[in-house]
Order: sequence, then structure tokens, then C-alpha cells
Amino acid sequence: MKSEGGGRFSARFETWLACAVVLVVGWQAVAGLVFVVHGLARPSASLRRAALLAERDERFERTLGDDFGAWSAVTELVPSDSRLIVAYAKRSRGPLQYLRLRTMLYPLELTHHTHDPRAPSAIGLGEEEGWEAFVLDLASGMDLATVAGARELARGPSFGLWQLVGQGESR
Amino acid sequence: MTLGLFGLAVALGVPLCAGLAFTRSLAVFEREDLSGRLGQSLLTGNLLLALFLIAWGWSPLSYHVPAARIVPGLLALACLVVSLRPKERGTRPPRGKEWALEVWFFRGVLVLVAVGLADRILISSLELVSVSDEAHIWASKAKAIFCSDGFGEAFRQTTELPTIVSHRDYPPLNSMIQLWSFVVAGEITHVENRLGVQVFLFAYLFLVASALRRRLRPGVAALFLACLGTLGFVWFSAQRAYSDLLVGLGVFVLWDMLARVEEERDTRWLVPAGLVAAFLLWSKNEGLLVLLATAVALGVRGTLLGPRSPVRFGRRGWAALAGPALVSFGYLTWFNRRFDFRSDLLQGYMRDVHVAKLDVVPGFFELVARNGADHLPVVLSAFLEHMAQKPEQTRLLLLAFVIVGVLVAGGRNPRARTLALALFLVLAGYVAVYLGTYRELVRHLDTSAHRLLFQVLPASGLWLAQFVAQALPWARAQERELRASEPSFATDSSSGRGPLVDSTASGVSPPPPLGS
Repeated sequence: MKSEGGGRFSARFETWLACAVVLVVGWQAVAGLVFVVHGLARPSASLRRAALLAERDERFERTLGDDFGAWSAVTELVPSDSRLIVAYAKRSRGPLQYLRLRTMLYPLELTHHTHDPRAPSAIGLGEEEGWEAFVLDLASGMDLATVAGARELARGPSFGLWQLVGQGESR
Repeated sequence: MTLGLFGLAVALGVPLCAGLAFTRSLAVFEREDLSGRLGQSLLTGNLLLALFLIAWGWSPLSYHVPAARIVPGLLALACLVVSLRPKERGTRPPRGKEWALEVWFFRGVLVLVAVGLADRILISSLELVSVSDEAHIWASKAKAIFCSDGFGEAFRQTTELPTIVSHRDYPPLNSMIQLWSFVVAGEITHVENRLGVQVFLFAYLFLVASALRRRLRPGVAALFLACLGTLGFVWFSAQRAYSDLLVGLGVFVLWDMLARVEEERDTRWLVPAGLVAAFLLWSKNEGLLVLLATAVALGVRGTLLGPRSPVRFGRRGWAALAGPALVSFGYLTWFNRRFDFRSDLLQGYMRDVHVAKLDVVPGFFELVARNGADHLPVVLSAFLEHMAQKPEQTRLLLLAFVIVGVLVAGGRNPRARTLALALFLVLAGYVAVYLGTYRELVRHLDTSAHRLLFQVLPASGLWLAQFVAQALPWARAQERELRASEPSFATDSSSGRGPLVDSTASGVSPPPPLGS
């Protein structure tokens, strides 16, 4: 039997085809529902939900702390209206962690990326693309993990992050 | 988190109120189609809110003042109150007898998937918006707009800085929705900004449920819903605020609404279809490709059918369908030109990364000519692998669509052929993207092919559902009576051609609705 629209395939063929579609959809629907139920029933998920509020702040801290040291120390150091340009020079940490740093710091600060091997070995002041670049050379030991300790550093009169940020504010 | 319960209520409630008001004023969804109304409200409300915030950004007003959150809140509430007058479309004639157990099965699946998504959203709230596209494209742009306080010189300076905002030319809907959480909080948030985008998951789920239930009996609709609700990228979108979800939602709803125009002989559906067409453009650049494919498919069909076409849109119908998209396209093009935001794909290089290394920059089309033949087998192979070998991602819907679509290309329903043509055109467009990519091909495919294919997955499911409803009488939803007495969109007084819905224009009886 030819189909009504002048098609090449019979209505019966389309019926069989539609039955096959329903079978495949049914099979995948079962798989999908099992996936949902399994996700809801996982003990770990339940525990995580229950502990959500308690864990949240700690987790935020950890998310950042894993890579970049004490976040609270950074936020205390950097006034919210200041502009800090950070150059991330430690290649071994890879671009992903740099990207996370960039996203989290912005817009608290505008961050800047450099792979320039001539980056100063400690904290230095540079010039790049019209911006004063405050360069943190993580490769040479001035790790952001030490920024927690930089609280003391920042109070120092001659050398420290706070002083540089202060210069940034005056721009 | 920064927002308290009241803040969260404002952040999520304002777009919902605006959407409810607008959807009620449209009066196209039936009273009993709760999921359709709710889904359309979430979609439209967020779009309206984004447009409001854009207008605010161009004004001298600041995002940082309380008025920026109070004014839209009051406006949305006022609109909702005004719309409470009984303007909604009346109750439809009841369906034939349906098994209560089957109906409850459908509702159970809907609730289960919704609860599962809500749970996933809750768990994802443990993670900051700090990695991947959600942070580097969408959140970064939102932050740039918020800190620049609009679209002035500060915004230009910020976006000119390297590495702050990736893909600056991308449309701003996602970013504006994230911006709304900043406005409500009065500061940058790092979790709540994702919530506004995650809300689209529920818009997706409700609109899919509405579309399926309209055409299929509850049991079969539940199976399709379970598939479409558990697609891999849908669940990924509960964790990350990507815009591919918005495109997938938009494609599905656009073609659902266009199908409703014909199925119900009611051009009032062109109004939400036009809004969704604009929504696609505001979501991501792929939206433009989808609209072009839809226009070509409709044009081919109009050319082939000519005066035998069962529905004439008329001037007002076409204006309702294409007007919002044309205005949106004009604005977005102007915006990108004003700030010199360009597509890396069309340019053939990424700003700040590649251009310095290239002596001569090839454009997209030159790259297609140069690399297309080499890229084609790799691209097709990757697409096939995604479609066939990852059922947990695709539920095999796209593979089934391609197979069935090809086999029944000459089948019985011209409407189904139109949708199939549009879907195949979109897929061809996606293949072309990879033929002319300037990036390393395999890596580009690995990072993006699954997202592009997801964008047409829900619509593939819709096409399959329509096919099943057409081919299997036992799988169809129970018949309702057509509301012949109800007014349609209107008469096209401007053209003087009488009713927009003219089923007898050609002197032949109109084809039956797909689900009948």
C-alpha cells in the first residue's frame, strides 16, 4: 500500500518503524528513570544534602584554598574597590588553575596573565599593555599559599602586597 | 551564599511573575495546561527581565542602587495583578477516557525527574562559578557589565582587556540573567548567579511535558518524557550554567509552537513562536543558524505546497513570528559592531591567542576550502560516535531521528518533512562549523560536539513523538473537538484577506491534525 503523500514506503512499514521507536524510547526511559532514582537514593548524595549548609562555607574555602591559599586573607588584603593585576608565572600549575584564579579575583581585581620568564623573582612592579602590572612570581616561592602569611608581609613598610595594592589604588 | 531567602525569592520570583503575566495576556495556553503555562512563563519572564536589564544598562541609572531591583519587582507584580483578569483561554473539551493509572504514571515521571533535577541543582550549589564556560564566558560578561555599571566607556575598557571576557560576541541572555542575581544581592555572587540559568531546566521539563501530552497518550508520553528529561546534557546543565540548554529549549519550543499552529489551525501560537525565535537569538550564536534553517525549511515547503498550504500566516502572522527576531538580530549586530566584538569562528582566529602568531589570517570560508575535505570524515565519525555510542547522553534519540527521518523522507506528513528538513539543515550547519574551524579539530570536537548535538536532541525527540503519534493510533492522545467557535489570532485586516486560518483556500479539505 502506498502512503497517502506519495511516499515510497507503506503505512505498514511506518507502523513497524514507529513500534521500534517506542521500544527504543521505552528501553532508554527505563535506563533514565533508574539513573534518576539511583542519583536520589545514593547515600553519599543524601549525606551531602544534609550537610549542605554546614559544609558550604568550609567548602568554598577549600575550593580556593586548594590552589591559592587562604582566600579570606586575600580579601582582607585587597580592598574591594582596588585593582590588582596578578601575573601567574608558575607554569607547572597549568592554565586551568590560572583561569580559576582569574575568575575568582575578577572583578575584585583585574587579573593579568603572563608567561614571561623574565618575571621578577619575588613581587615586582611591571608595565604591560598600559597597565601597571603587579607581578606575583609563584615560581620563585612567593606562592599565594603564603599570602596567608603575607598579612604580616603586607604590614611591612618596605615590601609587600599591601603597599603595591596601595599604589594601584592611587592610579 | 550571599542571598537570603527573601533575596532568592526576589531573584527567582520577579521573572516568574513577569512571565506569568505575559503568558496570561497571550491567552493561547489552555487553563488545564499547567505545565505549558508554567514553562512558557519561566522562559518568557527571564527573557523580559534580561531585556529590562539591558535597557537599564543603557540608561544613566546604576545597577547598584536599590531601585534596580525594586522597579522590576514592582513592574512584574503590577503586570501580574493586571493580567489576573480572566483573559486566559477557556477549558478545552475533555479528552476521551484515559486510564487513571496511566495519567498518574505520567505525572509521577514528571515529578520524579523534576525532583532529581532540583536535587542536582542543590548539590551543584556547593561549587562556585569559577571554571569552564559558565565562568569565563557568561559570568565574566555579567561581572564586566555589573562593574562597569552598564554599557558605557568603562564596559568598553573592561572588555578590551585580554582574558577578562571570553567570546565577547556571544549574545547576552545568560549573562543578563546572572547579572540579575548581582543586582538583587547588590554585589557579585559566586553561586546564586547560576540559579537563574538553572531555572530553564524546569521551563524545559514543563514545556516538553506539555508538548508530549498534547500529542501522545499518557503512558507513551511518559516514556518520551523520561528520555528527554534525562539526557546527559540536561543533567550537566543542572551543574553548570551553559547556554546550550537555552538553545535546545528554544529549538524544541519553536518547532512545537509552529506545529501547534497547523495542528489546531490557530495562528495565535505564532506569538509565542516569535518570542522563542527571539529567545534563540539572545541565547547563543547557534540560534541564528537554527532560525535560518527554519526559514529555509518553511520556504521550501511553501514553495512546494503553494496555495495548497493548509495555513496562511498572513502579514500579521509573519510579523508576529519574525518581528521580534528581526529586531533582536538588529540590536545584537549593532551592539557587537559598536564594541567591535567579533566572532572568532568567522575571523579564523582567537583574539589575543592566535593573531600574533599568524602572518595572514584566513577567514572561515577560506579554512573550509582549505581543510574541509580532510575534516569531513573526522567530523562525521565523531558525530556518529556521539549519536550511537553514548546512550546515556543522547538516549539514542538523535540516531533514531536520523534513521527514521531518512527512511520516511517521502512519508505521509508534509509537516513532519518540514521539521526533519530543518533539523538536517541545522546538523549540516554544525558539520560546516568544524570544517572551517581554526582550532585543532579533534580537541574542538571533544570539547563541543556533544553540546552542539544536544541542541537538536530535544527537537529530535519531538519529531519522533509526532511520528509515533501519526503512525500508531493507539499511542495518540485522545481526540478533542476543534474549537471552531473560538476566535483565531485575528483577521488580517491590513491585507484584507480575511481570516488568517483559511483551511478552504485551495478548495481542498485540510489535512487532519497530526495527532488525530
